Amino acid sequence: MKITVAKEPLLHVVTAIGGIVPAKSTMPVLYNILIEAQDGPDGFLKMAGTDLDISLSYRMKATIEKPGAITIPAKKFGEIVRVLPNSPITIEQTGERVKIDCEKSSIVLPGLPKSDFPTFPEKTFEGAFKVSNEVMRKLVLHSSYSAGRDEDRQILKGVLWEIGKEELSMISTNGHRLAKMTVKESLGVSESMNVVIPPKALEQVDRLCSEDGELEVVIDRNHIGIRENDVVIFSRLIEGTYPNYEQVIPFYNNKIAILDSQKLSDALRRMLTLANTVTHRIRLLFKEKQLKVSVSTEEVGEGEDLLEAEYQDEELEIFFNGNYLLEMLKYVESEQVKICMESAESGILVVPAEESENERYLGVIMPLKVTDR
Amino acid sequence: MQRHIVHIDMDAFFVSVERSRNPSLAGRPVVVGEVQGTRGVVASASYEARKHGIHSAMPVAAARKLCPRAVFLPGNYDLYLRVSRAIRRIFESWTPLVEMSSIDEASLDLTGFDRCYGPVLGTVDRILRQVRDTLDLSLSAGIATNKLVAKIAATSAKPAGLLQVLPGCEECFMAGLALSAVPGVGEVLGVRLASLGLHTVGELQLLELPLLVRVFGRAAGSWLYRMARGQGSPKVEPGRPAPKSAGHSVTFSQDTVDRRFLEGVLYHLCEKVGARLRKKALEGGTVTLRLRYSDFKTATRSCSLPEGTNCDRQIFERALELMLPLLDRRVRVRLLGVTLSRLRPAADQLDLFCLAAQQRRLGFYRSLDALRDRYGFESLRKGRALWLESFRRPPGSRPRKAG
Repeated sequence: MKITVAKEPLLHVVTAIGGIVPAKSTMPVLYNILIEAQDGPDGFLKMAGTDLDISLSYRMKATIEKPGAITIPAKKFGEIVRVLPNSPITIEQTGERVKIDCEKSSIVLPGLPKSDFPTFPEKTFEGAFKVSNEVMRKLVLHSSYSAGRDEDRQILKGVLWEIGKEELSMISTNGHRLAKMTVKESLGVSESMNVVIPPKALEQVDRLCSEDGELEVVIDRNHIGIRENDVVIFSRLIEGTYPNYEQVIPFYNNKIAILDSQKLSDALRRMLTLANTVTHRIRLLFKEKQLKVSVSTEEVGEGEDLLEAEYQDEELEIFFNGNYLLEMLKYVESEQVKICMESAESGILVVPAEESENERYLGVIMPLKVTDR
Repeated sequence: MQRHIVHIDMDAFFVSVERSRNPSLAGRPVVVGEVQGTRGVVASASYEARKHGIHSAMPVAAARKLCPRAVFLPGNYDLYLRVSRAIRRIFESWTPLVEMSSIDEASLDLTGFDRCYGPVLGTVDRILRQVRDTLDLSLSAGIATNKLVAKIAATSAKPAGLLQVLPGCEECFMAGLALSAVPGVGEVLGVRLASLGLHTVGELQLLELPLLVRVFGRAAGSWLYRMARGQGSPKVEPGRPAPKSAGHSVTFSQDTVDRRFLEGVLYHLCEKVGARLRKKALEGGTVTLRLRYSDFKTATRSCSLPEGTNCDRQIFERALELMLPLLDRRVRVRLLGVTLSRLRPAADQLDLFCLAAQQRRLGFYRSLDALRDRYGFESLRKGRALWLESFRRPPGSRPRKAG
């Protein structure tokens, strides 16, 4: 195999694939990236990586002098490409080694044969439905941040995608907070369906797909495939029953505060500098027309911030993991945010104060228990 | 300004406390330790008992042989802790810079206080007298320019003594000491020093720094060099250091392989660890199980929890998973211990999906802990600890100090 390819697109692809290569694996070949070149009129260069749950492949333009295929260490390859000069890069296979040349630099890496590399599920995109990149990106960004990381409950590590006849929603929760994004969009599906997808697979959509354009999506019992032109993402679905999240969204909370979203975020950021680094405990005290955000951490310090708020109800003191609220506010796209509460130890609903006709974003956060600490 | 670091050490602390409650023990050999059965160890021995060769960490059975007429007491550790806090309060009334290095030892920084209280020697004497008069306890103190020399001076002054090492005399004071008497020279280092013919600090003083670094490495070599010259840290750090772990262990009066008994004891230990963490509003991220077989082989197994916990049941479930494979060895078990580490403040994060169950659990533990605070830990038994009722002797466990 011998190919020549421009640096910038190569770096983009190698970085993306590096993102899904596992950090630890019992199969050494999974640390590698597959480079495959086919010549002829439909010749292309394909690069791929997998952690056995998610696989990512990317076709790109290249000058192919000699076809062939080999795998080389993905992280090391990424590091090398990043520091090479901005000139065409030649990749040449000699036996089980790969030589990378760029201007006057020359580097040799050990490789493993393509036959060691796990094969991807061969999915056709026949019968796939189409969804615009913009909608998909919006759904993913506004929901996936809230998924569980290392909880005992596997299902919460995934993002629930509800594909309805009229609208699409993505939901994620770690059991302490929940985010849901809904966009009115008809994909022309005959029946609504729900799938639970690892967030890592969805993040690739934001990373690799173009700003506008359309994605083709195909779903079967165990896998989801997402394709845009030359990028193909396959992922295993997470099995299990997603908890009945609608039951815990406190739509009927009636103590309502409306605040400037940016000012609240700024105040939280200031107070979080003093908060405990494990619990991130922040105190919110809602009073008539104002909100006091404060923090008191033994051996660190204490602080408070006063904000104007549209709030008419009785005084309410409530404690939160400040990071949860701050992260949720990042995705409130209106200037003002509406916080609906019930009591100090029940969930709160966070929504944009101005409603949009075509999309709805909501977040739920459970408070921390009230203590005298 | 001349530094005045004071090290104060209680003399046979547990015995002193027992004597202050029961004056008839005065002048008699007294031993505090696990006296249940024949397998406990000595926690504290009076000076009269020490004359018979009894020392701490010695098996109680051996101590009984050495001095059968000694008074053996089981120990009341909650009381000792309360007395230790009272001592601390007295120290803190003299200086804010008080570092309690253990239940019965403290370092005080009295630098600059001579302007308020007069010469340091008189001041320390007044502090010691205040403790003696108010709590009826015997204690000793050392004064020096750093913590190391002050501690050695206090030990040399025992019992009921006071010794000041004047500034500039540290090297001379250290020269006469046996290396084994220096805190920090443990068994391994002591043997290495002895193998080089070094038995006293004076002999060590003859060696230059480069040689010591070559033989003992950079850290140990330079520490030995500075120690021999009576140099040490003068930094007294007040405030209780945050505990790094909380654990309980028990040595059985008879070795056993009875799984029902072991599970009962394990549950009981987990309850104690959980209660301790809840009291301090902490939770732990790693559960460690320690199991010693009758042949003294010890197995230690740990596992991490995705989120911290202080819930008895969760601790027990993990500890049981760790213990069961160890019982396959089919050798009788002598000791069982459970420790929670990676401690952090309890987040008290409420849950979206199991709020009601979580609130119930929190309420349950609140009531349980309150009841046990009032009527004693053993006043209430639950879970598999109830299985222990069918065994004649409940496990007497003794809290270990948080590491």
